[in-house]
Amino acid sequence: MTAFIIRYKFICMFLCAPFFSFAQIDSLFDLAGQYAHAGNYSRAILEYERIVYLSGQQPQEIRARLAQARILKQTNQPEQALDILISTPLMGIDDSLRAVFLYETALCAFLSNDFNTAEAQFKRMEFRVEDTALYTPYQWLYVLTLTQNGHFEKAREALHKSIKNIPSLSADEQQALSKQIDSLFHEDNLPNLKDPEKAMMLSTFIPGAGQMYAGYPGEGLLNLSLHLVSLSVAAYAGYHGFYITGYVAGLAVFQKFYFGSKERAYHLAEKNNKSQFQEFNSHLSRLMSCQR
Amino acid sequence: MQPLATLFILIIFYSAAMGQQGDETPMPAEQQVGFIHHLMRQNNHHQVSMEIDRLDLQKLDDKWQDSLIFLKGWSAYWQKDLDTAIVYLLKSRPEHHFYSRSRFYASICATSLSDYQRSDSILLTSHIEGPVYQHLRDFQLAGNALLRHDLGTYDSLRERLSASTHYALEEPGKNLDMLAEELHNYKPGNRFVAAGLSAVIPGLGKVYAGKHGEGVSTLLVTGMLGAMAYENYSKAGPANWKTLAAGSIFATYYIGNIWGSYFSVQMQNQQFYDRLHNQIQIHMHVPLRTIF
Repeated sequence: MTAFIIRYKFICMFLCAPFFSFAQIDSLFDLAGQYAHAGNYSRAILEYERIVYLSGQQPQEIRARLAQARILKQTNQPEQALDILISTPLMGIDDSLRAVFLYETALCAFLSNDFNTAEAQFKRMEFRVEDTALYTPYQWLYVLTLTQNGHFEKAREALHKSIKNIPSLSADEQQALSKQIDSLFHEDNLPNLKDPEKAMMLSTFIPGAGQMYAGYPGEGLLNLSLHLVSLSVAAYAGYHGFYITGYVAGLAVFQKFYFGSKERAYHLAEKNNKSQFQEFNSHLSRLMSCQR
Repeated sequence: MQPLATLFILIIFYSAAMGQQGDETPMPAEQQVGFIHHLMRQNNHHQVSMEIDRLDLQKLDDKWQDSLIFLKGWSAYWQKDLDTAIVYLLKSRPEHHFYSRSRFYASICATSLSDYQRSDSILLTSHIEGPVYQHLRDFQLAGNALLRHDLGTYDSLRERLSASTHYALEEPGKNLDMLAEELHNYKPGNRFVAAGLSAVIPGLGKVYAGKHGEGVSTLLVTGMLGAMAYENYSKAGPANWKTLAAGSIFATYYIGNIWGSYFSVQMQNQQFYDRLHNQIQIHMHVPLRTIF
C-alpha cells in the first residue's frame, strides 16, 4: 500500500500540475471578462496583462493581448491597441488564431487611419495562413483598405474572388453581383481625386481657380471677385491720387486674400477627396452587405 | 486495479482544479512583486498604481511592503501625480535600499510643485550619508535657492560644492552657474515705460520688451495707416467720410499698439522666468537620473 501511494503520488503531481496551471489562467480569463462586461476596462486590461505575465505560453498570451486590444478599440483607443498588437510576436500558434490576430491588427490600423499598415497585415495573412477559408470572412476590410490606398483594381479583383467563396450564392446571383461590382468600379464611378498641390498651384496663377478645380466653383468665383474688388479699389484710389490709400486698402488687402486663397484651395482639395471616399465607401459597404 | 486507482485520483485532481472559478486567487508575494516589475518595465505606471492599490500591504512582509510603497510613489512620479508621489516616497524607511532615491525624488517633486521650502526641508531632514549624496543634497539646495532668486544662498552653496569632482554634478553645476549669471544680469522691463515709448513711436515699446520683429511690424502698419489717414485728411478734407474712416482705423491701431506694449512687457518678464525655472529644474533632474 505504501509503495502504491509513493509511486502514484509522483505520477499525480506531474500530471495534475498542468491542470492547475490551465485552470488558474482560465479563471483569470473569466475574471477579466467579467470586469470588461461590467465596464471596468482598466481593471480588465490589468487582469489580461497578468495572464500575459503568468501564462508563459504563446497562445494564451496572444489571446490576452487580443482581448486587451479589443477593449482599447471599444473605448476609442485604436492607436494604443495597434501598438500592443504590432509588438506581439506571433509564434507557436495555429492558423485560425493567427488569422484572427492579423485581422484585428489590420482593423486597428484602419481605424487609426494607417491604411498602409492595414494592407500589410493582409499581405502577412496571405503569406502565413495557409487555409484561405480562415481569412475569407475578413475580405470586406481588405477591400476597404485597398480603396483607401487608391488600389481600385486590386479591390475589384478581391471582391470578385470573395463572391466565388460564398457557397450559398447561386450562379445567377454570383453573375448579378459581379455586374454590380464592375459597375461600381467603372472609371466613371470611381472617386475623382484632386491633387491638393495642383489646386494650390492653380490658385497661385489665377486666384479662385484652385477652389474651382477642387470642386467648389461658387467659392472660387467669390474668391476671384474679392481679389478683383481689392485690385479695383487700389486702381480707383491711385487714379484719383490717393496712392497710400490705394496701397493699404487695395494692394495690402489683395495680398492677404491671395496667400489665404492658396492655402484654402489646398484644404478644399483634401476635403473633396475625403467626401468622395466616404461616398464611394458607402456604396461599397452596401454592396458588400448584400454579398453577406 | 492500480490503473483504475490512478485514473480515479486524476479525475479527483482535475475536478478540483476546474472548480477554481472566477474569483481572484491571491498570488504569492514574490510573484506579485514580479508582476509589478513586469508592468514597470512596460512603463504601465497607471496599472502599477492600480495593482498596488489592490493589495493589502499590511499583510505583507516588511521587505515587500517597502518595495511596493516605493513603487507606488515611483509610478505616481512618472504619472506626474506629484502630491501622491511625495506622500509615498516619504514613507520609505532609512533601512530600505531605495531610501536615498526616495528622499531625493520626493524633494524634486516638491520643487516641481514650486514648494521650495518643503523641498529644502525634505533634503535637510533626510539621513543622507556619503560624500556623493551630501554633495547631491547641496546641489539640490542650490537649485532651490536659484529658483527662489536667492543668489546669495546659491553662491554660498556652490562654493561648498566646488570641492566635489563627481562627474554627475560637474556639467549640471556649470549650467546652473550660467543660469544664475543670466538671472543676475536680467533687468525686468517696466510696463509704463513700454507704453510711453509706444505712444511716442509706435512699436518702440515692443522693441523695449524684447520683441524686435513685432515692434518693426507694428511701426510699419501703424505708419502706413497714419499716412493713409493724413493723405485723406489733406486731399479730401477733415469732414469727409474717407478721412473719418481712415482716421478711425489709424486711431484703433495706435491705441492698440500702446495697450499691446503695456502687456507685452509683463508677458516678456513672465516668459523669461518660466524659461529659466524650466531649465533650472531640468538641470536639477539630470544628476538624479545619473546617480540613481
